[in-house]
Amino acid sequence: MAKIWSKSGDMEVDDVWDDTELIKMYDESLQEISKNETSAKITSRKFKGEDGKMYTWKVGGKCMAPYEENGEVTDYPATIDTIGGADNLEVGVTFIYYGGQAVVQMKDLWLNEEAIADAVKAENDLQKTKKTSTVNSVAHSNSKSTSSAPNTSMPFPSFAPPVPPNIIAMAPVNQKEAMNSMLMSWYMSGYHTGYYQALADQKNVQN
Amino acid sequence: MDQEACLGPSDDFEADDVDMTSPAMSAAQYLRQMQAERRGTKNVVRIAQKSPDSTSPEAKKQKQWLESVGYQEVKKIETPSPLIPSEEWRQEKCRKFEETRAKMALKIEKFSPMRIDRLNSPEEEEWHEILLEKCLPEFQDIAGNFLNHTGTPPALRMVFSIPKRHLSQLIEYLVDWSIEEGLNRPIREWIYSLLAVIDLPLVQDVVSALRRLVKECRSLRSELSIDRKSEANEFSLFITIITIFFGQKDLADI
Repeated sequence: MAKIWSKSGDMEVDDVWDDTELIKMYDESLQEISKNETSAKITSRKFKGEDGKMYTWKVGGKCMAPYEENGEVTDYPATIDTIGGADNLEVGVTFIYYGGQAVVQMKDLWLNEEAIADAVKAENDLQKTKKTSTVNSVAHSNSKSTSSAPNTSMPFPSFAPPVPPNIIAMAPVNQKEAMNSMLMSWYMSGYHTGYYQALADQKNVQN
Repeated sequence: MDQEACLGPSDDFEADDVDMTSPAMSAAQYLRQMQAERRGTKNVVRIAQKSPDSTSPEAKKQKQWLESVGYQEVKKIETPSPLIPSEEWRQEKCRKFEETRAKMALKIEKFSPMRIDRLNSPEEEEWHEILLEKCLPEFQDIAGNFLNHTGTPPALRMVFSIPKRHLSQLIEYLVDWSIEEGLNRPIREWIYSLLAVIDLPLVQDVVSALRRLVKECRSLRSELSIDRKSEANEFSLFITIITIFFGQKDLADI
């Protein structure tokens, strides 16, 4: 009885046994490349929104996309990154100015040109601020927008930030000490300037 | 000097009076120390220029020490961007490899390994002969199914019959052979097969060997032209499996 059972077990194993299975899996891993290459990515798609209008959404284009926060859903301007999912009805977006990313349904997208223009301008101003590194040189005026659009313009402080407290404690106690500190900093700056100039001259001599 | 113009009349002092041994506690004291030090310094200082070709004994010692501890100068390997696979490709290959390992684990549980005497503690040369040069008698009947192999092919029964204690050493041997003989098709298939069955976590020597394999794959892939994408993807498969699945993420494609 036991022998018969073990025999049937061996038979079962032999039926599904394939010595070349590992190699087939290896080849399969390589051959799937051609399939992936042939499938082209969706870059644009026409879609009828819930409001009855016909939209043409493109990768790289702008739109209003929903963003859920604390249970509330609000629409913000965003850039379309990808179009995919089942039946190409899912859209990957990056919100303008805030930088967040999300995957939303295509039927939830819509357009508000004014809000999108405001967000793009705010993001460009943010980039300018980072380049010039002067925080108080930009002042935003809140432009008019529809009530459903978010207020994407953030005001910047109109004055320089206060001096950190520990620097006040380290300030010179009198005019004479302040003059000495100034002379000391000049001396150090001169030393490093000369050192830098010597290194640069040495490079020129070698070349 | 500016300092002398400011300090001269109201703060005249002799150089001998300045205490040079203790650090200055105020700016004025520091400036006095600086002036005293400058009076004792020559106006011109000469620095000997070393030619870049000559290596000093210290540099030679440092180079020898670095080589002794296994330091390798990292070449900048830049693969043409069309040959680097996409993120979706990499995740898909990693998921497929994980499925392969799961299938192999199920089969290993049911399989009773064959007793092959030559697989017990052979030397590296003997392993090389078994895997790459001459097929074992037990598997010559199925050798026809493996056209790429002249040695023993990575059949399921063969892979499952290798003792577990030899799997780690065998992967190291295969990586060494790939560096010496080139990463040819039989070696690639054997490495893939052993990676599909080896137990986790890996021992450190295997991790080191796999990292060497990844660097070799990246180097070989960077030499390919843009139109040879299928060959680049073979190297990318190993890079993806080792960097994502086996956790060597610092070597992954960006």
